[in-house]
Amino acid sequence: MNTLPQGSEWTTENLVIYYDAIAKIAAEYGLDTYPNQLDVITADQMIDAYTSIGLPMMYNHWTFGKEFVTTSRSYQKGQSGLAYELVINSNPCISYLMETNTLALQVLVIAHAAFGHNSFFKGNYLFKEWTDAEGIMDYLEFAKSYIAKCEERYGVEAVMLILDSAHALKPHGVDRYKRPQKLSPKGELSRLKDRVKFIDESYDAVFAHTVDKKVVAKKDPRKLDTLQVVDEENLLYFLEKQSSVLEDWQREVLRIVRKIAQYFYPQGQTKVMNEGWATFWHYTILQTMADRGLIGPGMMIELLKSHTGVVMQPAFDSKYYSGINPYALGFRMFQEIRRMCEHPTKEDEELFPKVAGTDWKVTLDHVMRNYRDESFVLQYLTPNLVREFQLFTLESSDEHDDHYLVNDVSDSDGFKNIRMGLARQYEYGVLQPNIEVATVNPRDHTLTLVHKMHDGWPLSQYAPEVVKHFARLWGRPVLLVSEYANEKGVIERDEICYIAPDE
Amino acid sequence: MTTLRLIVDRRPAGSKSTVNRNRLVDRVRGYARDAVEKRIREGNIEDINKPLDVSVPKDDLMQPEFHHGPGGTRDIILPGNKEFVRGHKLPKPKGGKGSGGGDPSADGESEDDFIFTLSIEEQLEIFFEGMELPNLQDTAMRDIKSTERHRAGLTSDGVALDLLRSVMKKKMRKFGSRGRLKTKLDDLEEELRRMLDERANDADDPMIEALFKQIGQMKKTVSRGVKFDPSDLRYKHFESRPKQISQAVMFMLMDVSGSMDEDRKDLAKRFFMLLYWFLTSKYEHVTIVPIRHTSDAEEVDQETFFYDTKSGGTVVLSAMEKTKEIIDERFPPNDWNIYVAQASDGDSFGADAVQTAAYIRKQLFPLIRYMAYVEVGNGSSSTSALMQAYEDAKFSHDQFGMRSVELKEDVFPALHGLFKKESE
Repeated sequence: MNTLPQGSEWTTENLVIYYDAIAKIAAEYGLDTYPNQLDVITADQMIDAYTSIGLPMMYNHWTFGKEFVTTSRSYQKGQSGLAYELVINSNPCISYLMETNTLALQVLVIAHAAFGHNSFFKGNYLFKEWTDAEGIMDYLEFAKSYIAKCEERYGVEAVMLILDSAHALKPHGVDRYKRPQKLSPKGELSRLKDRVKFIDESYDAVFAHTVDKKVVAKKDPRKLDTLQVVDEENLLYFLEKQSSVLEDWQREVLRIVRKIAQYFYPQGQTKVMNEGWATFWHYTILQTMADRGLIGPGMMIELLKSHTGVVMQPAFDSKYYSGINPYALGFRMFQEIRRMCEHPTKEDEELFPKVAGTDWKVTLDHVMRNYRDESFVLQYLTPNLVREFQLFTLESSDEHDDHYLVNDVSDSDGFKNIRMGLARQYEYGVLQPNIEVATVNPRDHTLTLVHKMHDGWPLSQYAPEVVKHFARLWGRPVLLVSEYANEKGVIERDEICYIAPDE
Repeated sequence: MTTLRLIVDRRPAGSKSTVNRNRLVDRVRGYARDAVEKRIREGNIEDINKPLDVSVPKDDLMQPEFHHGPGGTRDIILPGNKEFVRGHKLPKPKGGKGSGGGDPSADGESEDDFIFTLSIEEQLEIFFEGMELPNLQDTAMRDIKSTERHRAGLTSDGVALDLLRSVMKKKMRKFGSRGRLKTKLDDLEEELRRMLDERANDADDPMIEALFKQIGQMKKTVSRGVKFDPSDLRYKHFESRPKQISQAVMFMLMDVSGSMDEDRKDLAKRFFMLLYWFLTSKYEHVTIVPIRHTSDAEEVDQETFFYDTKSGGTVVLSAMEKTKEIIDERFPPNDWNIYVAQASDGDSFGADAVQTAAYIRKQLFPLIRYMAYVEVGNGSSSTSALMQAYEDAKFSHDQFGMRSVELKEDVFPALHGLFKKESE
């Protein structure tokens, strides 16, 4: 087999050569991907992309300015491993190649992002269920245009205020359970296009104002006799539909923010799996290329060095520790599954009968498609890995406030508890506090937000700030309570704050 | 299988973060302004040439979200256990930093204040915000023939359809006939053909482009079945006018006589340097004429003005006469907005001060827009001769401003006061 072009400089030609070679091997392994597009960008553009949460046509907001500054400073200080990979869940799937990458690094990014992440986006059930890869770019373009037009019409300040409040509620602006979809993704885009056109054409401020008023009046919820029980967990959805103080355009802005948040919802739930999958495949594909003599030793060394850096897991007491590295955990978990398929031990056959001895490509594919981080860890974390990562459980509790307690270590007794504990860390209710709109008082329209406590975990000190934003969008006072079961098992509520919107 | 579209080079498009960054700077303008003013006050005047770090308290840029706070019972799974056994008690560090269960901060990053760096342009813009050249008027640039087409209202017949206004009219009227619009469309296309014939080489004439666009839009409208009445249609009216620009000249008059010691000269230079930065950062067409005087005046270049040393007697009038001489030679008032800025310790002899004041009133005010006088380092309790003469002359506030400066820190406020924006 002929070695592919070596050396440290990339050119469009040699990128294409490597791309083709990788694509061929990916196909042999059965990876199913969207068509690929590789965008070559400058470091500044990479930072741009990062700070607009990875979306090239994000709308403008001052917080993205702040992100840009933070990211470029840490990039300049050499702090952030300003990752060399950024990829968009869309069709075609767009991967960013930074111009300053060496050829080896570009090859790594192609394998990792254009084939690893790409196939995950296309295959994993959460992505299939919650995102529309076809339409996202168009939608974003129109969203950005709509917001820009709102700024022209209503002023930058007014739009910024709405976005500030919407952003505060964004993590709670997603559906986690399917609602009957009124509009298909195509319909959603078409609807937004119409909104953009409407703003364009209805130049007469008086004229437009009449229309806005009509729509708002229809949604007046004042005609209620009893306390309206809402139980709505999607706070932005609730405000968009039910608030009587929002203008039409403001509702649309809330809608845009939550649509984008929804688009990212699967990412948050599959961090370990997605990165693990992409890392596993870049490693496997590049290893195969090396075995076939396509990559020379020089490049291989650089690739391995980069790979090792990515899958490092510092110990809890190391100064480099910043949590469990999803690349490290995910990569090893997929490798373990393969190992159990190809070379199962007795322990594997006992604990993982459905995996041991099966076809690893089929099993891996099945896992990728049907799990999310929480279930992935619960199902597939092996005792081997618990030992390898030297995992242990530390309990922190109000009862003993001067020390932590080691509850479990990586022996056979501790395995199941540790696995369960780690899986729970990826549970949505652990990552985010559980907050819902509970009730609305029909007479004065004060609203109660309930925080359903998890294991007695209180909200952070900034919760009242968020409630201020909510109250501003609702237009009436808002009460936030934390709900929990006391020792007798009776449900109790503690008031956190009561906030009226400022005039 | 690989097509050319596999690889797309985005680099030429450049970075898009400017808008967001500008918004960030707007948001923290107060802090930025304080930082810039502090730099000017305390540092070298040339420091404005370097980027400046601005520190903003974290709370002001906070992006709150609902997060879990510390407390309650939580189990956390950690890697890298070397020696602990079940039941081991690990002391909590003082300050109560939880091992991962707490809320690090609302935006999840560092505890520090947020620091960002202002570019030189941004510093200048912030610094001179709220300042302007008074009485600035548009003047024609004599040597350059340029005209622009300007919108001059609407007419009810013409060529360049204002689709927006026409749509408005139509909506208000709520009736029309498709047939008549189609006829109008035919007319427009005929007009376009004629225009293209006439100006065969002017395909990028903006008028023609505009017409193309209008016709295109109209066609779309027609096919959508919108009904227009000819009386609904409004056309944009254009006029050719000579291009207007604001052209200005600033005469900087510095007293370098014997009584202007190093400290005073430093204050004067500081003033002129700030003035220079103000003008060049804010205005496109400003010419500077530096004049220094002892008992006589000479025009010099900027380098000499700011860095050379010279000394001698004092005759303030000489500077004014020099100014008039140059105005007469090179800066006809019809074509130029003329400004004068003077710095001196006010020390003058005999009738010089009074004569100067009279000269200014008679010879300069008719020609100039505004004059600013800054007196430097007159620490004594008595008013200087020059300042007394200016006070007595009772110049109109519209055309004359006067400030006194003792210390470095006074310079910028003085400059700011002399060139404050009208509206504020």
